[in-house]
Amino acid sequence: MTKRLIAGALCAGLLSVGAGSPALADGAASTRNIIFGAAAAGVGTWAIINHNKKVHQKIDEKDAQIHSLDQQRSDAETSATSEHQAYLHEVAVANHYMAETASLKREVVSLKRQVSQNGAPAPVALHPAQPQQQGQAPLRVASVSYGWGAL
Amino acid sequence: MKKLGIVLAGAIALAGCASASADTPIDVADQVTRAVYGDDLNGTVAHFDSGLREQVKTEDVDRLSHMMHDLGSYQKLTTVNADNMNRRYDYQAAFDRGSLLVQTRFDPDGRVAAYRISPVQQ
Repeated sequence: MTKRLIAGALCAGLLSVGAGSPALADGAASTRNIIFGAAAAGVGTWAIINHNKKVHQKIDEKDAQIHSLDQQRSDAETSATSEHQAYLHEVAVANHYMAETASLKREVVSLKRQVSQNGAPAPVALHPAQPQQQGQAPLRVASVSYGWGAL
Repeated sequence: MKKLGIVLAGAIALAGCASASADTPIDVADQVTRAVYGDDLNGTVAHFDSGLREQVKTEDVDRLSHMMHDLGSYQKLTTVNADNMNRRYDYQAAFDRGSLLVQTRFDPDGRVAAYRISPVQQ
């Protein structure tokens, strides 16, 4: 217990001596302390400015990166839109050709049916077969003829 | 003997006239049409020239014969157009239930160079 009291008294004495030392300092030490403080303040200011500079640089880099990503996304959207329009155009063309093919197929089927009904040979040359009438009622002749040779 | 020669010459002349009259374009066309109607290949090509004869097949004649029979019995040909300069002749072939247009072209020797028929819309 006594030892604790002695240690506490020593610490208090040392603290009181340290606190009183600035009051006992002379003019040179005060000037030195002022210079040291100013230097420390300058270093701190420089550190803060440098830190802010780095922060702003990083912010700018982030902004540039974001802008680049936006540009890429915009380009991708434009490209996708263009490709989609090209695809729609191709689909329209394909539909047109499919419809035309179906129409031609129907026509072929109809002609085949007509040929089979007429009982005519398949490789028959087509001829206008519209004769000039001489004093008779005009004949309504079909547009196909069957037989041999060219007229 | 002399009389016999005269009679023979006259008979030959008459026969020649008869055969000549049978070879008019409408008669030839009629004979060909009747042969086709009767599905007779040999009769069909009898008046054809050599080039046209090679084109004719039995099944072709058969098909055209069926086509004609669909219109009923064959009756006669009627001239629709005659172009002696180009030896082109068109006839209307009458059947019981309709008619066909028969178009022919003859070569300089009087042989059939083209024979075609076309349906006539009633």
